[in-house]
Amino acid sequence: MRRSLYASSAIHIALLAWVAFGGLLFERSPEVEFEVTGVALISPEEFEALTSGTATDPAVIEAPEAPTVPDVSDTPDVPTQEAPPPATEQPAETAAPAPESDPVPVDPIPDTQVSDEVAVLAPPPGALDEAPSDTPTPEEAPRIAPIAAPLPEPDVETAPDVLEQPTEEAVAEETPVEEVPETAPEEATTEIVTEAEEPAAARAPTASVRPTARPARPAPVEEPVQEAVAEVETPAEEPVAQEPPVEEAPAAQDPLADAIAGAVADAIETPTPAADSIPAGPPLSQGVTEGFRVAVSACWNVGSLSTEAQGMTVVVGFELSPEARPLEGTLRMLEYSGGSEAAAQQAYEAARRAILRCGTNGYDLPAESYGRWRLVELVFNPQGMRMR
Amino acid sequence: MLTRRNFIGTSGLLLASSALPHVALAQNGPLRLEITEGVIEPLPFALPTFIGQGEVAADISRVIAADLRGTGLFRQIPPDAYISQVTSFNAPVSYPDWQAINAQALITGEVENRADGQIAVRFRLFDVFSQAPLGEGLQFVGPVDSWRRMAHTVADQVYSRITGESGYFDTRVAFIHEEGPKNARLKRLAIMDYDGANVQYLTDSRALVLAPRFSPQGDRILYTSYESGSPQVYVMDVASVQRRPLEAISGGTMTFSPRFAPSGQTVVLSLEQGGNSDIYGIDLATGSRQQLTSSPSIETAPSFSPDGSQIVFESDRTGQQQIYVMPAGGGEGRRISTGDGRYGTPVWSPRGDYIAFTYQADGRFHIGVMRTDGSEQRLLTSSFLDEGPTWAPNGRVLMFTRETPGDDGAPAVYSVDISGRNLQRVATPGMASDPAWGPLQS
Repeated sequence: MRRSLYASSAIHIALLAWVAFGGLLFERSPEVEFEVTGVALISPEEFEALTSGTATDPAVIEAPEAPTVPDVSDTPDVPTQEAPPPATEQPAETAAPAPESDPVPVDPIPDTQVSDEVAVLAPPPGALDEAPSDTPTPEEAPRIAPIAAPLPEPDVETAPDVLEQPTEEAVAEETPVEEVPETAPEEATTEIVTEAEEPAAARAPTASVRPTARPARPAPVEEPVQEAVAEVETPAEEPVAQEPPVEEAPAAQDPLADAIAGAVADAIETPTPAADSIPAGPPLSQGVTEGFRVAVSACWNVGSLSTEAQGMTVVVGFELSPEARPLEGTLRMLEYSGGSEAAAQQAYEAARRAILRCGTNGYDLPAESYGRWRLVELVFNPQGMRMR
Repeated sequence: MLTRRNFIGTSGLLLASSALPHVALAQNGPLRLEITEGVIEPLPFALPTFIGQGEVAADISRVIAADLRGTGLFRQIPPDAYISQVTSFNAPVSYPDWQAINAQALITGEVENRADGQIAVRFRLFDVFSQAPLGEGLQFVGPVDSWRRMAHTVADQVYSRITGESGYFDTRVAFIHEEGPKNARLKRLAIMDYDGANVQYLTDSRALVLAPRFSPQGDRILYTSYESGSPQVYVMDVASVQRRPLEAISGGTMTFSPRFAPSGQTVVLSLEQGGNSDIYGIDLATGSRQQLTSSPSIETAPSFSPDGSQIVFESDRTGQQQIYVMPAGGGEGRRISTGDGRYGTPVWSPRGDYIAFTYQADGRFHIGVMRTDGSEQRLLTSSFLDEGPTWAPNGRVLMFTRETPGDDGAPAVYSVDISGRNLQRVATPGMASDPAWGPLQS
């Protein structure tokens, strides 16, 4: 930031110096450009000659361009056409033009107003027929003049913007604090909403259970904390009630810290056999569920079933162990359709064999998502295998 | 106002909430998936040789295994692969050993020689992966000579407990035994176990015999014989092998293609008089005859529905053989076959759900099945000549005659699952045709 300050200061100093010594304040810049109007330098005699019609030859017209020349005839043409370029380069060549302007050109400046008279010159009779070819050239000069004037101003206006930036550095500590609360709630709400949609009912009880355990602790202040630590490490049966105290101890009276501790406790919670406390984990991908389905399908043999049982749909519910092995005692037929109860029993037995046989070594399911596949319901619908 | 503490707290909440998506609590409902396709393959089973003295135990074990294998629904695991050996019928089962060889069903048993000269056959069936018995153990007692029947009975029980439908092993099949060259073929009525064992000849070869049909009780057989010089239906008592013409017919009259009603008291057959054949019903008790069809065309091959209320038959009343259904008491037939070829020899399934038939088209013969309304027609076989299907008592398997082409062509009996799988030739002594599947004997 300070670099820009220094740079800006240097530029301003240079600019002021250029303005002061470059002639912007004291030198007539427009005059240099408009020296083209040197036509005004035509002496009254020549003007009279023109108006009188004595100078009829073109060569005579060139002569007036060297008016200063009563005697010097070569120089007049050069300054008239080379004068405009030096006007733009004046800051660097201030010394060069100076000697040329010293002679008398200072006086002709007021003569520039005579240029208006030049326009008036056109009407004068006598030389009108011969001079029309020369008159257009001097008239073009005034059209250029108005455009060059406003150019220098914009350069000065850019400086203030640069100067304001360094001032923000001093207040930097406050501004980020203001931005954080605006973004933080948005991110939090979006995530909470998505989580609430899936396990809405499951998450609420765990949050409400924690406060009930907290009041019992105040009596022993330090000892319970140590006991809680030990309990958390050894048994994982009461994660909800005992894990939070360990982290809440340092900031027991802060509700905000409590909320943080609760969220962190939920995040750290380890899976347990208890149905309600098992984290669902990340959703099962399509590939995982398809792999599970294919694995059971590979063992679902309907070839030994009766034709009636082969056309029946049975729904089998069961529970999987954390190792993804079916727990035999949990298998049961939830519903059936498409045939008699006797045939449904046969179809169920085939489905049961399929689940148990291919699950002997455990199905290929992600352990972190145990809560999502602990309970399974498989619909055995042989629609793709029925005899046509 | 935001203080430093609030800022830290808010940041903490954000940090914690960012971790929540990965540890969302258990979902409300179970993971529910639909499985629409499995596999159709034989169920592997283990059958250690039954415990017992003598060869009977081994023979019974062998027959049981053959019965199950023959269905195409079961596959026997070679005994060499067994890890466990069953040394006692009441010993606990080491399920892991049987699971290790992928046996899904385990059959154990023993044969006891009793003091009265009979044998007792006991068996148990286990669901290996469920690690539990599949049904309770059973015991059969009988003379030693009937060991095959007892073996078939055990197989029927196993089959029934696993598939959910009754078995068909303890059954007999009547058929026509054929001998000699094609242009001088000798035919005899015979009967055998469903697996080709215990063949018994019921007639000699002096008269040509055709199309035997078992009674619903399996005690009688109807068949057509040229014994009188023209085709005539006879009824034979299987136990005594006594036969008699079903009814007296006049000269120039032929009776053929008989079939018992489910009650066993009525017989339907085709009777041809004056070049026209129609279907008639005959009351076996009174001998009275009732004409069920009256058409100038050929109506034949009648077969009762299991409930006895309808009769399916073939007729060429439209110029081509087609299948019709009419009430058991006669009446206008309703055509149910819709194909372009020829349909013949319809037989109603014992379960009442299908009608099997012979289909001829494009120079090929097929055995097919269709629903009783003619829908869901499905051809199961295809060959130079397949004809005359007969149902197993459980309505799951069909037997039929297949004859090879040429001068050396010979008929044989084949069986096929209703699904079209497990087509196999039935072991018969020599050439055989016109099988008729009898009911379960026990």
